[in-house]
Amino acid sequence: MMKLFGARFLNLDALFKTAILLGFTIFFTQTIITGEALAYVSPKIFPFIKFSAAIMALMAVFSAVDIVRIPRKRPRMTTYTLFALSLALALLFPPAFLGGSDLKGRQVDLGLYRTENGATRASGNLELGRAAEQQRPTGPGEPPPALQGNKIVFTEENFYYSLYLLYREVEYYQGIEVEISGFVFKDASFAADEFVVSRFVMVCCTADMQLAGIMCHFPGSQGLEENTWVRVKGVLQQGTFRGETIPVIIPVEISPINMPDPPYVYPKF
Amino acid sequence: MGVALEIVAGFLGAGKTTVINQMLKSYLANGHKVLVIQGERGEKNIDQQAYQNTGRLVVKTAKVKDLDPLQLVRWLEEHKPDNLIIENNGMEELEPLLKKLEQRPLRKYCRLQRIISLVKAGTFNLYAANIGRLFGEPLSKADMVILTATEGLPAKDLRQIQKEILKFNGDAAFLLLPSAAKAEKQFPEESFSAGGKRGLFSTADPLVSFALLYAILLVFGFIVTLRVFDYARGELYLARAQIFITIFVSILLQAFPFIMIGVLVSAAIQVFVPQQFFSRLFSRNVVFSTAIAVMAGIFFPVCDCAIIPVMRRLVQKGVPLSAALTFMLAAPIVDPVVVASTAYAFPDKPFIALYRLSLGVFIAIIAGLIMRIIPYKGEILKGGAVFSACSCGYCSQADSTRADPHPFTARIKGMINHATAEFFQVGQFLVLAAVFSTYIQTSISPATVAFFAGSPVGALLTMMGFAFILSICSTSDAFIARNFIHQFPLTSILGFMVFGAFLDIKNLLLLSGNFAGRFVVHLVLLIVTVSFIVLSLSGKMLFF
Repeated sequence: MMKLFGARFLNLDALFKTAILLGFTIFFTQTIITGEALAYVSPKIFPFIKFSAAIMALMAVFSAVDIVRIPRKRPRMTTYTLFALSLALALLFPPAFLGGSDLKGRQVDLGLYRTENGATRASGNLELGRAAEQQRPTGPGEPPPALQGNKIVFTEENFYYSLYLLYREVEYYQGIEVEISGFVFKDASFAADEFVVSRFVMVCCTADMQLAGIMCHFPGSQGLEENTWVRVKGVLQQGTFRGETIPVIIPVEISPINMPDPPYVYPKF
Repeated sequence: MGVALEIVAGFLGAGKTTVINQMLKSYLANGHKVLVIQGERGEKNIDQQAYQNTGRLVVKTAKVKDLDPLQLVRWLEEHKPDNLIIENNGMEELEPLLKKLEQRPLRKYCRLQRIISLVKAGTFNLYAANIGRLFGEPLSKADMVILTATEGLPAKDLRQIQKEILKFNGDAAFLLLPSAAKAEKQFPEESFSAGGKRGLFSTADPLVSFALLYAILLVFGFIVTLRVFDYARGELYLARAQIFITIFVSILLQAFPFIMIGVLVSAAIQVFVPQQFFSRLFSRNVVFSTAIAVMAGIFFPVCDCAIIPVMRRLVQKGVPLSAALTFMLAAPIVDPVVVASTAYAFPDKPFIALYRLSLGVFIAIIAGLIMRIIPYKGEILKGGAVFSACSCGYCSQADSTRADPHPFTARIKGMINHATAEFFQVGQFLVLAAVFSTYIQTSISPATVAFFAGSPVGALLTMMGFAFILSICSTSDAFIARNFIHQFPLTSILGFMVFGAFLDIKNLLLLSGNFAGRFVVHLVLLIVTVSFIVLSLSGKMLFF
């Protein structure tokens, strides 16, 4: 065995390269085809993944040719071990969907802004709200919220844009009916009747996901378990959180739902 | 299995004949039959007389350049040796010889055992500086490097030379041959058959890879065992491991495509762009070359991880360090997608995107100018600046096919091979960075360690620190920065987004994999200092 490694007999370097590149090509292709990729990255990364799967396949072919040639280099075992282990973990473990507390650094995004002198202010006013309404078709890539009469229905497609408008124009949307689904998120600092109906928003990949949602004031909050999925129908009011004016839902109906697949929303821009 | 082949490479007077004589002594004493292909007549001759009566030594003279593979096959069939030693003159690269050896039917007759590169100690610096490419190629491919005629040289110089060689080829065994007279003592039979003492790297490499495998098995072994005794906790750990792996894989899935783009561009520059192109482009005045560096960023709008292999290649191709630095810092900031995502993350403050863009470009220009005014004197690229050659082992393959009837296809092949080698070289640091980032994201809550949020300077420093450990990619930085708007003033949020695009864990690891250690420290200090000064001044001047 030592003789095989010692002599320039088998081109191990090319062999390892080929195997790893093929493995990653298979993983990349499979994750896109099965749709599991949505648990890892935003759909806007998909074309890049397809492109690099194609390149890796090409690289694998070129490396395979070298297996029968005289090795020019010794294989770097550490490098190939790092790649092989990553590949094995990716292939052996199906992706998991993250719950509200899996990313420790994330606070739910309630759209507050702090100015330079330390004071905070609530965002939005009526004029801006009207202006935003008129400009809707030129919004940031997502369809405008489905404002049906006096009601906003949050969908996967308009989730982030709808939030964006609600937080920006709190006053304007006051009194409007809202229908939104998400999981129950609670923080130690919340009052007993408070919970946030929230979703993870994925910009690029799982590691950079943010929690976003709307605060609900509901007397039965304590009966709702964290991370359970609910659909909330209610009326939008102005509320306060840590001294800020924020949109708040006064729920009329809360019904349990199954976790959507995928549970994340992917803003487009 | 074929004849055991050894190649002895080195310049005239490096001591090839001395070493070959020593090898012969060892092989012939063991009853082997040896064929030597001698390329040139040096000062010394192969000790033919001593073995004439045994009939077990055959010496042929043929320059490697003119060596006919079929002729070699005829010799091998005629003499049926056990060992074949080919002498390769230092003025020739090894690559053509290796190509010949791969041809049928010669390939079936001999099996390359090892390549021994000889360097005369006194000539090392002169050759390395003047004919780096030709000199470096046999060294980078060698299994054993012998430094000859070291007698009388100060120990300090020898260590320096050894360090240079190790940087270029950490795998090769390294031997010293003080003088021809001491050859006998220096090369006892055993040391040769054992292959000599290997470089530290080749000892550490399998150990590290074994430790990695062992650590992973240990973790999963622990969880599986725990699950047997305490099912609930075992399941909990397993779920956590799964979350960890999901985040880890998501970082790889997101970053590999961009690394791929980076290494492809880098390889394309290496293979297709002539050496003089960049030096001509950047030979004009400072305003012009700075402008080009910033503009290049706009035309190369990819994530920050793609930029480092490209920067390395640019520096290697003779782009001034100052311009390359400006390019590296500006590119992830001027990316239109990054600007758009910043505007979207801070909907009621569109000027934040503008500030991020202009401050980022400003810092990139200032850092580049400082690099120009106070040039860095030391070694820049990892692997030694002495050799301008690339040590990837593929360059010479691509270049020696220049006479190929289809140069373009040969170049494409060279480019792909190059990109592959670089993908593994760069990607391994990405894997390490992904593990570390995943750990940070899942276990450390930055909101709870915001000690210094009170004072503006403290807040800025804290946010720059967070940017370093939390940034994943410049596109999503803005959304991560949003997390901190409850605790931190806007200038420091801006600091997070600007600095995070310059430096984070991943970038630092990629930098240290591509550039010399001291240079990386110098670079990081420069970027941190300039960013901090510009950002803290901007906090006083910008209107929020």
